[in-house]
This record gives sequence, structure tokens and C-alpha cells, in this order.
Amino acid sequence: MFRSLFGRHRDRTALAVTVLVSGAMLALDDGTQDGVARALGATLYAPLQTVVQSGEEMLLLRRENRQLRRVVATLNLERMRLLPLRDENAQMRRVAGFAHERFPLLLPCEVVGRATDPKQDMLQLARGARDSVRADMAVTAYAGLVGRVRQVTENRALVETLASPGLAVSCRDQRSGVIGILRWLRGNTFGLDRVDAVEDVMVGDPLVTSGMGGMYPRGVPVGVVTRVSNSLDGLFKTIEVRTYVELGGVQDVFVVRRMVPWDDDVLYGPEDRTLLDPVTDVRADAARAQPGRPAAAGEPGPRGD
Amino acid sequence: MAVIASLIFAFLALALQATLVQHIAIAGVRPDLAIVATVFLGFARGAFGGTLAGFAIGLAQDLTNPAFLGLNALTKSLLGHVAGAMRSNLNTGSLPMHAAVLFVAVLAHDVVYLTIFTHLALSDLLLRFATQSLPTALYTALVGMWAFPALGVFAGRGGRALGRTSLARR
Repeated sequence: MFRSLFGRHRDRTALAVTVLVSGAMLALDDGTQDGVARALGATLYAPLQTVVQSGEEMLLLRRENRQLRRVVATLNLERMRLLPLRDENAQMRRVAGFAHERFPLLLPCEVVGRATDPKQDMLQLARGARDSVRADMAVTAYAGLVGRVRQVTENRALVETLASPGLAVSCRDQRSGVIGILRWLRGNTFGLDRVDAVEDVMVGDPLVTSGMGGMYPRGVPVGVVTRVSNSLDGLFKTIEVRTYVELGGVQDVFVVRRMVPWDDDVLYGPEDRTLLDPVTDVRADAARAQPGRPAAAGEPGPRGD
Repeated sequence: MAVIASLIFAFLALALQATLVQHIAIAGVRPDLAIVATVFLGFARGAFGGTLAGFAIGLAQDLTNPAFLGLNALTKSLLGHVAGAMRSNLNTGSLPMHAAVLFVAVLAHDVVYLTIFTHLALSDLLLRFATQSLPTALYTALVGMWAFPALGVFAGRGGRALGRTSLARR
């Protein structure tokens, strides 16, 4: 009966129902209207939001992918030029009896949260103990150092960034070799402490991690010196530094899982190798075939280190 | 297919209303693309489809501003129903006719809307009608009439012939 009635008066029934529903919604008090709107919005807009978000993400990923391909290609060319120097350096270090250069093995992580504690600037990562992340591991971004892992749960990790008041990092002036301690001052400005007034530090000098203390690998870019003056007592320099990484907006970071020998076989998996220039493989094959080749970076030196 | 096209059209209209239309406002007057979409879908899908389309479009608008939840859904349901019921009389396929339909549609919609919105406070209603509704109706008619030549694409089973006739006449 209902079906036949609906069939005959379909248009009017639809109108009556929509008018009734609309009227009922209008009759609700403000608070209930708000709640209903929120609930309906969350339900109705959720698929739309998912679609729009997926589309946006896809566009973003395509753009990022294009950008990364270009960067990989450029870096690969750069790498090809540097590899002979690396081998030469490794050979000389071996002859001089120095330890081998080591390289950080990176784990890419997405930043999924930021702590609101004003005393500590913390980032939350979507990786944890399950992914071999451990406390005190160094964390970097594309541009440079971000901080260190402070706490780890099964699938999350909290990173204490350089902008945390308690964090101090030993840094080296890449130009002059002067070493100081980097501490957060305000915003994206940091101070380089414990640098004598007579030391050679100039505005524009790049800073990298010194590697002292063992927590941060040596040579990770940190920032650039923006201001140099002498302290009031004239004993030390007052140095201001701006970090390369905008810590407030960092989205993708890399946890330094461990330091490994600087060798392609250790650093790159078979899938990674497809992105590298095939010349690398040819070069490696040729080196293996040559009996009197220089020792690869990862092979033990005379001191066995 | 026609239903999906209608949904996409309604979504596009609302998306444009929220983004692009802000930039083509003249002295604060903006075309009402939600009304254009409701009348358009009423013409394309008939009274039943027009009512549902109007309700959905209105509800989508209401959810973004829940102070008068249901008001847009009510007015646009009525508008969609009337547009759908009168489509055979009003859809002559000429641009001036479409502009006139949109002009009257905005005014009719706003009369119902403002009556409830102002709680029948006549002075407020008349002031808003003269300063907002009339210019909006004019602007909407001028902008919206250009959407109607695509009517055939959105017409369902009932409205397909109507869409074709409309296009053929043009």
C-alpha cells in the first residue's frame, strides 16, 4: 500500500519528507543543532574529505616524486665524481692507520605530532621500537640535524629537537674547525657556546656536528653563523646560529639507526641500487676483478677497526 | 550516470560557491550557485530529483553554518520541487528565459528564507530583500544562465528528451 502510494505521489511524498526533516532540524535548539550538524558533517563529509585528501596527497606525492627524481639524478652525478676521492681517502687512511670513515644508516620517518610542552620541543614519529628505533638515536632531516630520540614505544618515538632548552650539541665550524656547544636561544636562533674570543669564527660559516660524545654522527649539517661578537668579559665569543632545518615545520625526518662502513653494499639494498647509476656497478665489478685494487671503505684496516 | 553527473554538478557548484565566487563579488554581491544548481537539477531530473537535490544541496550548506540547521534544506527542497514540476513550461531553451527563471527563483527562495531567518520582522525582511536579494538575483541570473545549455548531459531517464529538445532548439 505504501509502495503504491509512494509510486503515485512520489514527488509530493519526497517533498513532504524533506520539508518535515528540515522543519524538525529547524525546531531543534541551538546546542542540539550544533551537535546534529557536527555528527552529520562528520558522516557525510567523511568520504568527500577522504577523496579530496587522497587527491591532494597524490598531487603532492607526484610533485615530490618528480622533485626527488631530479635530486637523486643530480646527487648521483655528484656521487660519481666523489667516489674516486672516497676510495683515495680510504686508501690513505688505511696507510696512515686511521679508522675507516663510517656512514649513517637512515630510517625515514613521518612526523605525526608535536608536543605542546613549552619546556621541551618534541616531535612524535610514526616509527618505534618495532622499526628498531632506540632512545638517543640522532634524527636528521633533508637539510640537517633535527635532534635525538628521547622516548620510544612499540610504534611511536618522541624526538627532542634542537629547540629544546636542555639539549646541547657539539658542533664544528666547517671552515675553521673551531668547536663549540650549540644551545637553543629563541625561535630558530641558537647560540654557539664555549668558543674563546681568540677563535676564528665568522658570519656565514657553516656548522656541522663534531661527532664528539658519540651521539651525533660527525659531519651532519646543523646551521650557519649569523652573528658574532665578544662577550662582556671579553673571554668568549657570543655567536648566534640559524639552523638549516625549520624545526617548526619539519614533516619528514630520518633516524640514524647506526653507523656503518661507507660501502655501497652496506648502504644500499638491491632495490636502491636500481636508482644508482649503472656505472657504479660496472666500476665495482671492475674493482673486484682487479687483484691489486685498493681496499674498499668497509674492509678492515691494519688495526682491524 | 546522470545521478553521478548530478552529484558532481552539485558538488562543483558548492565548491565554486565556497572558493571562486568570493573573488567575483561586486560590492559584496555574489551569485548564488547553490540556487543555480538546484534549479538546474530540478529541470534536469524533475520534481522528485529536484526535491532531493535541493535538500542535499541545502543540507550541505547548512552543515557549514548550523545556526539555522534545516533552513537551506527546506528552501532548496521547495525550490527544487517547484523547478522540477514546472520544467516543461519554463524550459524553453532560450538564455533570456533561463535568466528570468533564475532571477525569480532567487527571489522566491529568499522570500521563504528571509521570512524564517528574520522571524517575520518585516522591516528587516524588506531591507535584506532590497539590498541583498535583488542584486543577488540579478547577478545569479547573469552568471547562471550559461550553465543551462549543458542540461541534456544531466537529464535522467525522464528528462533526457527534455534535455535534447532544449539543446536542439538552441
